[in-house]
Amino acid sequence: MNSAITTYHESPGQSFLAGESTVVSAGTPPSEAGRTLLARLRAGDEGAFGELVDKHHGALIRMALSHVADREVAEEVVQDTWIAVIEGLSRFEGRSSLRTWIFGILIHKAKDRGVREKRHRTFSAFDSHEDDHDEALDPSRFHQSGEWAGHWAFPPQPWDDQTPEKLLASQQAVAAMQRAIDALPVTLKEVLILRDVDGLESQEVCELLKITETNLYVRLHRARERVRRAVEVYLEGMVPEAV
Amino acid sequence: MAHDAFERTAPDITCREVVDRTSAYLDEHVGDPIKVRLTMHLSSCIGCGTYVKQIASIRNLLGLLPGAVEEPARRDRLCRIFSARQQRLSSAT
Ligand SMILES: [Zn+2]
Repeated sequence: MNSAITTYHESPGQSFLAGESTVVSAGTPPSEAGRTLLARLRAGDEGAFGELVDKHHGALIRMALSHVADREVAEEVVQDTWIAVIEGLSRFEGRSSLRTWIFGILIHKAKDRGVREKRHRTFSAFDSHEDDHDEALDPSRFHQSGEWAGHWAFPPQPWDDQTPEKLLASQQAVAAMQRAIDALPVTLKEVLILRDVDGLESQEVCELLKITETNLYVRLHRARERVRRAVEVYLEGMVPEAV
Repeated sequence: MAHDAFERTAPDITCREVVDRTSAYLDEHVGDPIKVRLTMHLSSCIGCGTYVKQIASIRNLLGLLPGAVEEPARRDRLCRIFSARQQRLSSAT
């Protein structure tokens, strides 16, 4: 039940789906819950602010970590973001969701900090970029030629219904997934964190990262595949010992 | 449609193409013609069915991973800053 009374526009001149969408209004309308929280925040409710911090702090840290290498620096970036949120709350117009706004501030600060940090870094793995046209999955898992070219040569082994629960309950499996996420290049990591870990709508993610939905799904899928592969390796019992 | 011939030959979309579109498909971000082909392929390909289910599981698991632990001291400090700011605002108006 979308409110028909209000139309949402992003700040003038900022069209994140340039020329693509005439159906959906720009920006992500705030949810009912978001609006209530916003009202409480504006009324100066400290508990509401605490809730906001609890809700997003972890995701903000992870997001910051995709731009800066160091946990401590990430903490600082997130602290700065919260301060900016506090300072800017009275100017926030509620045209996008509160969450989109907060993540937007974080991404701006984290990128800025990341750029400054890079001048002092020498390793390059962190800066690796993704070619959006690369395959998500190892091509050797498919038949390369003949009648069945492009079809599975080595299909995935089915998981049973309890597999997800068992994975979550296993510290090793969780650590394997976490390592896979940590190892992602920044372009993949940020979409995975925003969309899957923190559950932003795909439209919000596109808006924040200024990418098209096609681009989003290419990246998102590559990221999910790497985590899936890590789980597959874990389940095959071939997890290499940490060195 | 010659049913036997259909069973014998490869469907018109390859597993590789299905794999690449899995995340868009799960979020219903594929156009109708592609969706029909994907659904048809999935109804007859065990490998791709398994793959799509696994990606869906991964997507769901990612939302359930234990998050970063919030440090209470910092949280309290932020809340105090928030309150101080609010008081400044209300005393200014
Ligand atoms: Zn297939």
